[in-house]
Amino acid sequence: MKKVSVVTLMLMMMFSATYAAGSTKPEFSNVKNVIAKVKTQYLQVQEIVPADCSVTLKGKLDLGPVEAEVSCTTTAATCNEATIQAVSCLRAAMNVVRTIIY
Amino acid sequence: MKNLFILLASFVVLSADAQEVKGTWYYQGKFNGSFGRSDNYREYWGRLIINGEKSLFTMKEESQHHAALQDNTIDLRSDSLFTVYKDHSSNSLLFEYSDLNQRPHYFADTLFPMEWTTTEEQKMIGGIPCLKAVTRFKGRGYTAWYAPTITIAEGPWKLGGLPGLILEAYDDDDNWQMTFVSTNSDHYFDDSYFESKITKGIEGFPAFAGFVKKLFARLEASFNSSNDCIGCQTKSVLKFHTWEKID
Repeated sequence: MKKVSVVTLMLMMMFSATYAAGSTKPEFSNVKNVIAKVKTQYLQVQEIVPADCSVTLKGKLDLGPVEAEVSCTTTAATCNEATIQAVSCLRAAMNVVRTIIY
Repeated sequence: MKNLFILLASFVVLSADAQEVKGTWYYQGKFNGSFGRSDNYREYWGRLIINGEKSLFTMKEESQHHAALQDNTIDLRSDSLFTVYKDHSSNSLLFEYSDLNQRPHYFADTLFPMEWTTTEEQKMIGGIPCLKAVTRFKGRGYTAWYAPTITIAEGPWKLGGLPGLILEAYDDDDNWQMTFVSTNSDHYFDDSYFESKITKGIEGFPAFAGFVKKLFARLEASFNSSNDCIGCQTKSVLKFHTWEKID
């Protein structure tokens, strides 16, 4: 009787643990769904933001009768932001050229 | 007046025909490094040394390199541009190209392949009577004013093949121009380097085109691998431009 009750007790504990896990699972998936929803909305909001300013900066590698021209075009909500990003792009491109040369 | 001009020119041509042309001809002109896409004009001196059937042309910038003042330009132009060696006796033409490390490379090209259309237009350049001719060469239209009295089929850069020395030449878009300013009798230049290149055998214009394309591909690959413009809404484009059209 004692053995049976121990086994029963263990079974009951396992059942309750499984149940508990089962009951929390739907909550996690809900959270996941909410996160996905927020992400989607966030992306939608990002797309809605108007990109008002477009900045193009050009750099050149002058070899005389041969020339390579790099242009970086950045579109951003503000001209300040677009300029900063375009400068960064051009600087990176020119550094690539310098790396090749030296 | 026109007939008199031609008669006079022909007379001088005939009387000078037996003499071998030797000397140095100096030109002054300009070159737009952006080839018409924007104004990037620089003043150049041109020097054409003619020693009988051999000649050497080169262009040097007159003033300080403007590029030194521009942050967004990496100026790797060599000291001399448009350097061309011609040898009429072996029907050879060698031209120089400097790579990214400013090492000169020489390639061969056809001597005077351009087909000139001569006209009766005339003008005086430096007191020398000249006639006009036009042609298309490697994707550009050129006008040349040549002196029938100077009996050598020579000219600045790769241009030539006319019945007289070209004293002025320019392209249709006014990006490159050379105009004769003075001359003297100096005609010595060391041609042994160029002659050894010709003797050993030298690659032609297709090899030059391949060389340039390879260089551009290398740059392009480096840009592609180093740019991260996905998150920054930035698009970078690399374009290549060459004075002589490369297919």
